[in-house]
Amino acid sequence: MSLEGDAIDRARSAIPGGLETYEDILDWLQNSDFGQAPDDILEGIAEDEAVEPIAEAEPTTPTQIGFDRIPTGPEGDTELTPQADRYQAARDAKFTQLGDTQVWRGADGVIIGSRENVVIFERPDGAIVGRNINTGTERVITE
Amino acid sequence: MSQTLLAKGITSAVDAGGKRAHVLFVDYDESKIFDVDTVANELAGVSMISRSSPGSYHLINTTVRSKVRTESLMYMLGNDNNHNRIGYDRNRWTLRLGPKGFEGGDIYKNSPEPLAVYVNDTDREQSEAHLRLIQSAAKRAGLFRPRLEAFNLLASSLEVEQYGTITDEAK
Repeated sequence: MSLEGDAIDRARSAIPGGLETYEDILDWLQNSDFGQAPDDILEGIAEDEAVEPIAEAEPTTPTQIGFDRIPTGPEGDTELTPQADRYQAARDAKFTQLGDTQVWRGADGVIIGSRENVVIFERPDGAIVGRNINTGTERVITE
Repeated sequence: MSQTLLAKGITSAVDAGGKRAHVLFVDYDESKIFDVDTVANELAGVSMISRSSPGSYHLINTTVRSKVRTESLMYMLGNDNNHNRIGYDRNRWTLRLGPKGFEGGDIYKNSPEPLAVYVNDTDREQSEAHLRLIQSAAKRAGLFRPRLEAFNLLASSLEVEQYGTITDEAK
């Protein structure tokens, strides 16, 4: 159940006064001062000229959270656990993990998910394919 | 202990040439991130997924749509119909961006954690204010940040809400 839904309206306004950048707005939103009185939330909108331009960044490499948690066997041990094998298969294919979730994403935007010992990925021709990482067999899920 | 909480968030509302329109806020409870990711990958424009609590996710998409179109999309894509219905009645949907806490200051739930930002080319208008906020959140979280000039921007402002809600146990 969310939010917010059955919320009692407490205050509604535009951007609180004194907040000039979107960083400021985020700070205010994420501030835990729950006692702030609605009266303190002033009318006022972050005018374009008051907003600091946000430097445009080149696309960054997705964070590789989780890689350091890949279990590794003793040197020379090729019998990785299925879970380790799944992570390794994704890493070999240059996929990165979405947060600490079970979703992996490739640099070109394809999706990869995992179910048990199966990784799911999108081939260049658009087909969604599941691959059993234990047996190597593949099954086309959707063309 | 009181079961009343306070939280802060933003609303979906934008002013499109004097007419009220919305960006898309979808709320997923007890969901799989794979399903939310799939949706975000399909939506036109810029989207961001955040995890509001374990198994619960927020999806923001900055493409500007009419109220009716927004609501129909929410019913197709989301699973929290209470969120959908109340937002429709209030003519604004709200998503939390800060922590939930008790009035004395104790935290009940931390701020939603941004997980990923998605970009799909489109000629449709994107709410500049919501997009800039996503940029800031993405910068803070070390995520990919979309380029503003790649989109047809609708000059807009943010509505911020501080509102009351209740604990999960009380729902």
